[in-house]
Amino acid sequence: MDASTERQTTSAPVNKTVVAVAALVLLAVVAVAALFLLGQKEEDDGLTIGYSSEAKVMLDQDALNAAMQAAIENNKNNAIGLRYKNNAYSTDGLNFECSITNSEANLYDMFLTIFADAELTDQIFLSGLVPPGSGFDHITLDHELDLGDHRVYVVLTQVETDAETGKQTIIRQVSHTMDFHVVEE
Amino acid sequence: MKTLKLKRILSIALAGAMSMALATTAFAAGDETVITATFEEPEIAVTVPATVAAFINPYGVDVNYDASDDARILSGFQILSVPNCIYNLSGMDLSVSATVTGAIVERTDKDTTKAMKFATAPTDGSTVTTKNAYVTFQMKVDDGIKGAAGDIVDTLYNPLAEAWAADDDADGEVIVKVGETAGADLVALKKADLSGTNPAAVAGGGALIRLNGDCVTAPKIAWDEQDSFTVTVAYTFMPTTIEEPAP
Repeated sequence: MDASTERQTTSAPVNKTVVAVAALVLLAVVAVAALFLLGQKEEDDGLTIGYSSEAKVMLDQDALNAAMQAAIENNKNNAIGLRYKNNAYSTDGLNFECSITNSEANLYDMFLTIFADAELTDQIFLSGLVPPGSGFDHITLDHELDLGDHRVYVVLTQVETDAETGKQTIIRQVSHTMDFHVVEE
Repeated sequence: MKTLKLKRILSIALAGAMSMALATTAFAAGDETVITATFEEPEIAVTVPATVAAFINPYGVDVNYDASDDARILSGFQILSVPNCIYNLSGMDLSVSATVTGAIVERTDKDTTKAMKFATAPTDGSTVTTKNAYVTFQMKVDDGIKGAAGDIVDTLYNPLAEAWAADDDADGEVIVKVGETAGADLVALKKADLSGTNPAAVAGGGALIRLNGDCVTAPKIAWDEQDSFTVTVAYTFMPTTIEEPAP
């Protein structure tokens, strides 16, 4: 009788402990999930590489003249030189032989982002900064591509680095396609 | 003993036959010329514009684009963008295609009943009263776009863009809609002159680029500063051969 009573008395605090731990674990899981989802949402905002970014309605001629003149002034030196070969090859879907160069004619460092889709949601590669005249003859993707031919979308982003402060600013972007081929060894 | 001798004779004969066979091959190899060829993919070198400003001009007013010269006018454009061009600095002719993606920018008041839409056909002459804009991405080869990269600047191609009137045809055109539209072989650009220190685009090696189109001038729900769209372009360049016209 006494042993049974003793067992009952001991089990009550243990139950409370188990419940508390379970609650903490559940809370942690929810917190991690929330953080993950929030982070995912920010990533889904994605890049906007616009040929024409946010075309504006102009209802006044003087305002339109001024806006166009300012836009043309800002458009000076707005071109980006592309140097690359259309085709890249791999036998494992991850490591590709390719040729993509930051043209010597460009004034700024650049980095590459490569996407597997036209919507620019499936990022498969992100490079570091390369100066004009330098580039890549070999890249390793974030995840492998299947056997076959793939049309990918390469976004070149030019970055200006302040010589005094070191602050880096994205100044312009363009996009072109390439064909990635995964072949059998 | 006799068997052993016979075996020896057979072995010698066999060895001799094998040697002759190999010698024949050696003699044959000595008469062959082996040529090993490898394909070296040519490099693409082009210059393209980055993001440019665009405007919706519902009343189609003339736009003076040069503050120093009142005569520099872009006339008749309801949809217009800052003049720009693309040019080929490669050692081969290139065909230019583009994947064009349109998007309507969400209004700051979030009122979807006032949102603009992309039209699928010209609105000029239609009786539509909704806030529609017909937007096209256009390219046109212009022989005036030539020279080294440093020589092809806005003072060169702005007058060319002015001469390319709103109603003029383009060599290649993509109608902009929400989502992606592929425009294949919009223009072909001639290969560059590589004989100098720097490559130089030749006549036929450059093309003007613009957004063009029209819009309903006075829709039921009036145009306002919250109406906006974005166009994204991904270029595709492929080697091609441009046939020269017969003399």
